[in-house]
Amino acid sequence: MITVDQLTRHFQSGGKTLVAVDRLSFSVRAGEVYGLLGPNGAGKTTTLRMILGLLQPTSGDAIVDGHAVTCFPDEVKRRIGLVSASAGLYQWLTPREMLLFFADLYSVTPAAAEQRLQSLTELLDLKVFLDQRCSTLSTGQKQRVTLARALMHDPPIMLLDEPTRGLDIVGTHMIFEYIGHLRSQGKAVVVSTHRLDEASQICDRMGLLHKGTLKYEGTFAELQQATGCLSLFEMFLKLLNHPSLGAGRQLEGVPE
Amino acid sequence: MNDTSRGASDLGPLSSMRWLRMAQKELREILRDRRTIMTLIGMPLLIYPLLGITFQKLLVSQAAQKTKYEYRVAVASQHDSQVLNVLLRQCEPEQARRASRPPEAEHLPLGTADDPDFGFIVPDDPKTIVNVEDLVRDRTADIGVRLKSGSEKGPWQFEFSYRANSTLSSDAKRALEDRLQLFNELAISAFLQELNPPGAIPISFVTMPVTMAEAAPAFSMATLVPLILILMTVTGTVYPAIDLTAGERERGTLEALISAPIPRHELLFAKFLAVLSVALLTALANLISMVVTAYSNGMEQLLFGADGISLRTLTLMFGLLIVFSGFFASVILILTSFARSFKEAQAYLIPVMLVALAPGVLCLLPGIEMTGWLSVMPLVNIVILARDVFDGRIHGIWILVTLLSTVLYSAAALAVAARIFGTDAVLYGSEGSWSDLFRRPAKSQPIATLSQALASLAILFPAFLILSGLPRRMAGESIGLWMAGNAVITIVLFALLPLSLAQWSCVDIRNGFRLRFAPILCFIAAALLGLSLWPIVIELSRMQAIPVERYKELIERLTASLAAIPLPLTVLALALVPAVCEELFFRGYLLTAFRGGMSTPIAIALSSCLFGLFHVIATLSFERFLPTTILGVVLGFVCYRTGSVWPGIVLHCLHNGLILSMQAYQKELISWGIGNKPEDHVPVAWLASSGTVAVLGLLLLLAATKRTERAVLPPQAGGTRG
Repeated sequence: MITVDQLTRHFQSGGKTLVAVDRLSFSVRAGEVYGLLGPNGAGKTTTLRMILGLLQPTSGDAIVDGHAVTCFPDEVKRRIGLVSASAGLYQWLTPREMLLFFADLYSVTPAAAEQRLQSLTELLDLKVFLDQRCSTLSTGQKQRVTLARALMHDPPIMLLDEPTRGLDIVGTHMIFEYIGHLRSQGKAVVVSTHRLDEASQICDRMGLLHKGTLKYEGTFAELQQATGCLSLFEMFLKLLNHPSLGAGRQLEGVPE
Repeated sequence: MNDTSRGASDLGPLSSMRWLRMAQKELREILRDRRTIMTLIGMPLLIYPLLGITFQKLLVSQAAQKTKYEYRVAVASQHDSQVLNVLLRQCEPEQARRASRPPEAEHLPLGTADDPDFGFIVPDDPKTIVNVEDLVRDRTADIGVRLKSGSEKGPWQFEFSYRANSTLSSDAKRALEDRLQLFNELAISAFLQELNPPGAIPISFVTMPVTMAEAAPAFSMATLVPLILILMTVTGTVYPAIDLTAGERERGTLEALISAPIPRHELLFAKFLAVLSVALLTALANLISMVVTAYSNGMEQLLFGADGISLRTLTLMFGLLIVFSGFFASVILILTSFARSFKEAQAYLIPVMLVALAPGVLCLLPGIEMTGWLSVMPLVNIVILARDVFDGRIHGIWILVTLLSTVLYSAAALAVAARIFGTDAVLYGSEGSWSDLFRRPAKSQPIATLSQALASLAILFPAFLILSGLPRRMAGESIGLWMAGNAVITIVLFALLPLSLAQWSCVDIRNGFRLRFAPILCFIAAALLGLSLWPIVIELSRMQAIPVERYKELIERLTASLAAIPLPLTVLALALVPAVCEELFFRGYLLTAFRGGMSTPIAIALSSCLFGLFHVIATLSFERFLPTTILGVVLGFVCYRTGSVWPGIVLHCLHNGLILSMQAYQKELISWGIGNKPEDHVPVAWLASSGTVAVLGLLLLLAATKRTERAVLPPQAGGTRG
C-alpha cells in the first residue's frame, strides 16, 4: 500500500544544510500498523509530511496505492487520512458542519457524506455534541472530531502523527481502539510516536528512526532479537549511547 | 472510496461549484465571529452618528459665531446711556458705509466681527448709578461704561471696564473703542472741512466686496467621504483576511486543509471570496449608515455635493468599493498568507494601511486630476475616481482604465498569494523567504499557468497605457516616426515581454505560444476569413451611431498623412507587426494559459474581451470594442482549432492589410464605382458575398482541423498538472 523509497529531505538553515530524513525506505501493507519510532527530531513527522505530499522530498519518492507522490500529489492526498496531534478545529463551526466540509473537499457526494457522518458518529460517539460549536468542546471531544475528520472520505491509508500526545488515559485508550478499528477495516496505518510503551502494544511492525535514518526494522520480537534488548526503551538507550549506531548526519534545529 | 467520490475536475476552480461552497463555509465561520460583527456593523453604526454629531456641533458653533457678535454693554446710569446712544447713533451711517451695507437700509448692524451689535444693560431707575465693574466681573456684561466727565456738547470722557484675561471682553472693548473712534474721525473731517485746507486728505478709499455667483468652499467635505469609506472598507477586510490565513495556521487547521486534494489556488480563491464578501458587507453597512446619518442630520449637500444624495452616485460609489475591496483583499491576502501567526500578519499590515492612506490624502490636494499615469497607479486611481464620482465629473475612459487595471492587479496579487499560501515554508517555517516569490521554477512547464498569465497582464497593461502615449508625443507631427514608434512598442510589449517572461518561468516556448505549424488547408481557411471579415467589422463599427462629424477632420488628416507614406511600410507597421505580436500574445500565450485554467469558450471570450479593451485604450474610443472583440473571438477560435498561431497571424495580417490598402486606394476605388466613403454603409451585396466567403472559410477550417490535437498540454505532460 505504501512504499517509501530512498526518501531524503534537507533543510537550509543559516547557510547550513541539515539532513532531516536520509535515504529512508520502508513499506506498509494493507491492514498493517507500522510504527515510526524515534526521539524528538528523528525525522518522523517530516517523513509523514513527505508521504502526504505536504513537503517536497529533496530526493527519493513515496508510492501510495500505486501513485508516486512527487508526480501525483492530489491522487495521493485523496487516498490518505491524516491525524495530527497539532491539528485544530474550526471553532465557529459545529462538528457536523466541519466534517461535511471536509467530505466536500475530498469530493464525497452529499448523500455518501451524510451516511459516513452517521457511521462515524456511532463509532466515535459524537452524537451529543455534533451540533455544538467546536469552541465549546472538551479536549477529548475535540480529539474525537479530529479522528472522524480523517475518516470522512474513507481513505485506504491513515497517517497518525503522535496521536496520543497530550492525551490522558481515556484519550489514549480511545486512540488504541481507533487504530484497532483501522486495522480491522484493512487500512494501511503509519503511526509516528516516541511513546515506546504504546508502540509495542499497537504496532504490527516498527522502524526505529534516529537522526533521519532507519536503524532497525521488524516486529517487536525481531527487534528484540536483533538488538539483544528486551524492551524498546533499552533499544533506544542503546541507539542514543552508541554514536556508531546513530551515525546519521547533523540534525539540530529541524522544525517538527 | 471511489464509488462515493465525484470525478475531480482538471479544469480548475471555474468548472466546479465547490469553490462557492468553500467560500460559504469561510463566510459562515467569519460571520459567526463576534469580532467581525463588531467591525462590520458596530463600527459603522457608531462612527457615522458620532462624526455626524461632531460635524453638526462644528456647524452650529460656526453658525452661532456668525450671529454672536453682540456685546453686552453695562452702562452706569440712564444718563450715561443716553449720551452714549446719541454718539453711537451719529456714527451709524459711517459704520454702515464701512461695513458695506446698502446706505438706504436701516442701520442695523450685521453682527459680524467688523460690524458688531451692542446690547445695553441700563439701570431701571433714572437715579441709580450702578457699579459696572461688578457687572463685568460677574460676567453679566462684556464691558462696562461710565461717563467720567463731559457736558452736553462734549468733549466726553468715558471709562471702560473689561476683563483683561477674557478675549470676549477685550474684543468688546476694542469694538466699542473703534465705534466711538468713528465719531472722532467724523468730527475731525468736519473740522478740516470748515478750515478748508489747501490739500485734500492724502488717501481715501471705498471698499467693494465682490460676491461669487457660485461660492466654492475652500475645502469640500465631499472629498473626505470617499476616503472615509475606503478606510472603513479596509478595516472590514483586515480581520477576516488575517483570520482565514495566518489565523488558520495558528489554530492548526491549515495542515488538514492543505492535506485535502484541492489546488491551493482554489482554497485561496474561496478565502478571497469570503474576505471580499465581508469587505462588501462592511462597505454597504458604512454607506447606509453614512447616508442615514447625513440624511437625518440634513447634511446631504455638505457631504455629497450640491446635488445631495443620488442613487447614481451611491451605485457608482458602491461599484468602486467592490473593485477596491477586491484589490485590497488580494493584496492583504499576500501578506497574511505569508505570515505564520496573527501577530506577524498584523505587523505586515500596519505599513500597508499607512501606505493606503497616502493616496487618500493625495486626492484631497486641490488640482490633482486623473491622468494616464494616475489612472494605472493602484489605489490612487480608485481614490481619485471616487472623488470624481462625488464631484460629478467622471470620464468613461478613466473608469475603464481604472477598473481594468485594478482588476488585473487584483488577479495578479491573488496569483502571488496562491503561490505562497500553504507552502511548506509557511506551513512549517522551513526555508521560506520573500525571495521565493521571484524564484524561477525548477522544472520546465509545457504552458504558462493562469497565475503567470495574469501576472504578465498586470505588468503589460500599465506599461502599455504609459508607453502607448510616447510615440505620439515624441514624433510630433511626423506620422512616419509615430508609426515606427508604435511598431517598436508593439514588438517590445506583445512579443518580447511575454516571450522573456515565459522563458524566465521555464515555459516551453514552442508549445506555450502555439508555434507549431498547421496544415496548409488551415492557412487557406484563415486567408479566406482574413479577406472576408472586413465588411462585417466595418458595419459593426457603423452600427454604434458614432458622430462621424466629430472625427471627420481627424480621419481626413490621418488619411492624408498616411498617404504620404509608401503602402508597403504602412502595411508593415500597421498590419504585419501588430498581427504577429498580438497573435503571439493574445492567442499564443494568453489564450493557451487561460485554457489551462478554465473551459475553452470562457478562455476565448476572456482573451477576446482583453484584446478588445486594449484596442479601446489604444485608440481611446469605445466604438472599437465590439468589432475588435468579435475579431478576437474568430482569431481565438482559429487558434483553438488549428493549435497554432500561424493561421491567425495570416488572418489578422490580411484583415488589417486589406483595410489599409482600401484606405490608400480609396480615390481609385471610388472612381471605379466600388469604393465608399468612411461614413457610408457597406453595400448589401458586398456584405452578402463576404459573408458567404467567411462561412466557406469557417467550413474549410472545421474540415481541415477535424483531426488536429487541440489539448493545451502535450500528451505526456497531461497528468502532472494538478
